[in-house]
Order: sequence, then C-alpha cells, then structure tokens
Amino acid sequence: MTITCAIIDDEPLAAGLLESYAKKTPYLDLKGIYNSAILAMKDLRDDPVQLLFLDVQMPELSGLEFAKILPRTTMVIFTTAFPQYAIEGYKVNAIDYLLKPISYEDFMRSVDKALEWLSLSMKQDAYKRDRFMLVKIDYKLQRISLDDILYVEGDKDYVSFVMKNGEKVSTMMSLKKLEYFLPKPEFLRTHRSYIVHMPEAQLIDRFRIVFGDVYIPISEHYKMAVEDFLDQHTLA
Amino acid sequence: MNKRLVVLLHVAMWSIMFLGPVSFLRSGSMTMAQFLLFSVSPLFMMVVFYMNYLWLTPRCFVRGKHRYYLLWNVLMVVCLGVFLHYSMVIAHDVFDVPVPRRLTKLETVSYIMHDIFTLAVSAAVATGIVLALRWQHNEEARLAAEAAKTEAELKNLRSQINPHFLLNTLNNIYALTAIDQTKAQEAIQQLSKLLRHMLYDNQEPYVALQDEIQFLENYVSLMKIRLSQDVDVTFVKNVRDPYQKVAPLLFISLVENAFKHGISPTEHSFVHITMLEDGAQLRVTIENSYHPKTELDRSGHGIGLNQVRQRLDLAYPSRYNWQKGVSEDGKTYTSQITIIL
Repeated sequence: MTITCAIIDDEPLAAGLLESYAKKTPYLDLKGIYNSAILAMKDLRDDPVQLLFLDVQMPELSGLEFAKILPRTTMVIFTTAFPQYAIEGYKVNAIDYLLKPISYEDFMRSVDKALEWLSLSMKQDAYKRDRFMLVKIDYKLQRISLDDILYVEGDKDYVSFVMKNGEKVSTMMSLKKLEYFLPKPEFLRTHRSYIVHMPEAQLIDRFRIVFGDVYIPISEHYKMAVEDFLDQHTLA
Repeated sequence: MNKRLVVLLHVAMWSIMFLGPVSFLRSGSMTMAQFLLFSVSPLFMMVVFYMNYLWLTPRCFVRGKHRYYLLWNVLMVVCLGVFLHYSMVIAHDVFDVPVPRRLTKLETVSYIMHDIFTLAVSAAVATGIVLALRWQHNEEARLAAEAAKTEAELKNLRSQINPHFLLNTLNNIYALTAIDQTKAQEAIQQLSKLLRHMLYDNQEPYVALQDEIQFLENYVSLMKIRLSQDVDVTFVKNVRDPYQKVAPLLFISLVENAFKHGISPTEHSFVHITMLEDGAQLRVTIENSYHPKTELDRSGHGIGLNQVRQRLDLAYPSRYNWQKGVSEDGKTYTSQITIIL
C-alpha cells in the first residue's frame, strides 16, 4: 500500500527536510511541495492527496485555516514550532502534529499513525460495501456475513458473534475495536458487553432487547444512540 | 527638605508672630507685663498649629479620618478661642493694664469670634503645609519609581533576543544539517556570533560600528536560509571609520520588521539595507516590499517602533532624524534613520 502525500511549508528548508524524509520512506508517494497554502489550494482540491504535512504558521493563509477547506479524505499532519497550536489542530481533525525540529523517528511515528488510520477506514469501507468480514479462529479465517449477525457479546479479550442460525463464533478482539469497524447505526453498542444488530431486534421489553430467551440490557451510557434509533423506527 | 532648615523656618516664623506686635508699640513704652499680654494670643495659635501639624493632619486627616479631624479642631478652636478671650480679660486685670472701658455683650462675642477665626486660620495653615509637603514627597517618589522602571525596561529591551527568531533559526539549521552540512556549520557559526553580540558586546553603552554591521549581516544571513531563493535581499555598506562608536542594537528591530512585513510567498519580495557613514553622519536605510500580514502570523514578534524611538531619544537626544512610511503606490516601505555622530 502506498500513500500519496504533499508538503506545505513557507520555509524552504523545513519543506526540504520533510521532502528528504518522504523520499526515503518507500510507501510514501510525494505528489507536491508548496511554499504557501494558496499555491497548493488548486492542486489539492482538484486532485486530493491522502496525507498532507501542513505548516501551521504561514503568511497569508495559515495551516489551520487551510485545513478547514481541504477535502475530508485528506489526512492532515500539522507541523509547527509552537505546541500551543496542537490543540487547535485537533479541532480541525488532524490525525497528528509534529513539533519542529522534526526527526525521522517522529516523522515515521506520525506516518504509521496515518497508515493505521487509513487501513482502518479502508476496512470499514470494505465491510460496509461487501457485507462480510473474515474472522480469525485458531489460525483459520471464517467468513461472517453481517446480515446473519444477531448481536455480539464481549468478554475481556474475546468477542462472540451470535448468529441467526444459533451458531456462536468467537475471536480474539476487543469489543471497542469491533464497534469501530461495524457500520453505524446498523450496529449499535447498547452495553459495555454488547453490540446489537439493530434491524434484527424483534422485541423491546422494558428497555431491554429480546432475542428469544436472551435479554440484552441497554445501559445508561449508550442509551441516547439506541433511543434515537428506536424513535426513528417507531410507528406513532 | 533639610531638617535643620525646617526647624529654623519654624523658629523664624514664630519669632515674627511673637515679636511683631512689639514693633507697633511706641518705643520704650513696653513693659514686661505688656509683652506677656501680647504673647498670649500667638501662644494659643502655636498650640493649635502644632496640634494640627504634628498630630491631627498626619494621623487623622491624611488617613481618611476626616470627621475625627474636624471634630477635634472645632472643639479645640472654640474652647481655646473662648478661653483666650477670658484669659486676656483676666490678664488685663492681673497686670493692671488699663482697659479702655467695659465691653458690651456684642463686643465680647465679636472678640471671641475674632480669636476663634485666628486660631482656625492657624489650623488651616498647618494642615495646608503638611499636605503640600506630603504631595511633593509622593510626587518625587512616583517620578523616581517611573524613572527606575523605564531604565529597567530599556535594559531589558537591549538584552532581549526574540525567542521566536531563535527557535525558528534552530529548527532551520536542524533541517540544513540533513541537506547541506557545510551550510549548516556556517549557520551555526553565524548564530553563535550573533548571540555573542547580543549577550556580551551589547552590555557596553557603545560598540564599534563594524561589530554592529557584522551582527546585522549575521542576522540577515540567518533570515535568508529561511527564505526561498526568489527573495531579493541586499546589504550595502559604505563606512569610512569602522571603529566609530554607535549605540548597539538600534536597527535590529527595523530589520526584523522588514523581514516580517516584507516577505510574501506568492508575490515578488525584497529587503534592501543600506548603511552609510562619512565621519559626520550615519545613515541607515531599510526598504522592503510591503505585504502587511494577517493577525494569526506571529512568527516574528518585533520590538515595537516606539521602543526604537525611546532608544534613539536616550542615545542620541535631538541628534537624529527618522523618516518612515509606505511609498505612494503602496508597494514599498522605507525606514531611514540619520544620526549625527
């Protein structure tokens, strides 16, 4: 997997350093280096890159302002000499920020973060599109169709998929991570230990979701999202 | 005021008060009894005066206890006024000084009122003196504090290194080490010299012109590594006496500002610095393309122009001329300082 990237920094040396780092990283495909956000604007909107190294303090148009008008698919890593901008950076959905002077180790750590982010979102997309996932069970991969899931039960390091045919498939994974992969609001967390495939819920009884003789609780913490879903689908 | 002088002044004043009436007497006709009689009134005034001078004004009035102050004064002045009148009457009898005639009631009241008024004036004068002295004292203290503050500020300004400049330069040198090591070494040497000038040479009230020029050159070189090649930066100098003494760090803020406001990444930019010295005058001209920046950019906090003005006033009072402004087409900003050496 390669990631397309670009660099914007008004100081040529700062841009040069990042350029040298990007070039020695095999899976980074450097598409452009710009000395100002204004010069980069057209290119990056017509032909978005996946990853952008963006300086915060620049004359005319600052990195923070520029990040707001970027396509949503572009991941931003801010570069700055002043850490007070970091918090503002996260407000515009930066995945990371690099404090100057930037070493190659710092750079790689941020790029790894971007990679992880990218693979997560690609998986998300794939599961949503193809309606199945492959689950590791004892060195084997088993196909699980999203449409066949009733609910998922979490227990420490394991999650168990409870399927329509009564089968139970367990794999090593945290419920929290799984929650992130599954499309929402089709799959909703209702409790610390449960994710429910909402269209399969047959009966809601005193605010518990009933599957046969299993009652799945809805905890206070997750109540809001579940209530919204139920309200939207309630005939009244 | 000197303490002895104050005592002398008080003595002199009261001498006039006591001895004044004596001169009105026809020569030689003064008896001891008469003198004592004339002394009663000033004596009472003295009591009222010093009560106010030493106690009521500094302890009550100044501390905001105005009611207390007023009450005491009224009580004191009225009692002493009445007492003064009757003691005079008795004194006339005792010393057997002839009284013109018996006083009517109206006359008695008016005499008492007159005595009260005299004593009240005495109290007012005492309070006035105390307040005036206090005010003068406070004013002096305030001015001294202000002067000390200004001096501390100037000292602080002189030794100030713009932390953003330092940080940005170090970051750029870091990048340079990965790209061009020879240039990185040069830059580190320039930064080291620049810091030495700011930290040590700068402690002197005056430095050699060539040192100051060297300092500015180092600054300009370090700024240049941060800029793209397209920016046109020149530094022209024409100096007759390189050892001419000048006040240190006068022009750095202006150069800093030129880079701060003169560089645009999208438009043609230049910074032109000229230094001319002919033995009589030093003329420094700084020109830059004018691109006012947005508020968010805070990379180069310059020391304000006001402070440059303050430093010039301090080092070259009415011996300098400073012209600055944007050209008519709004594209060039020029700042020119001429100093008579």
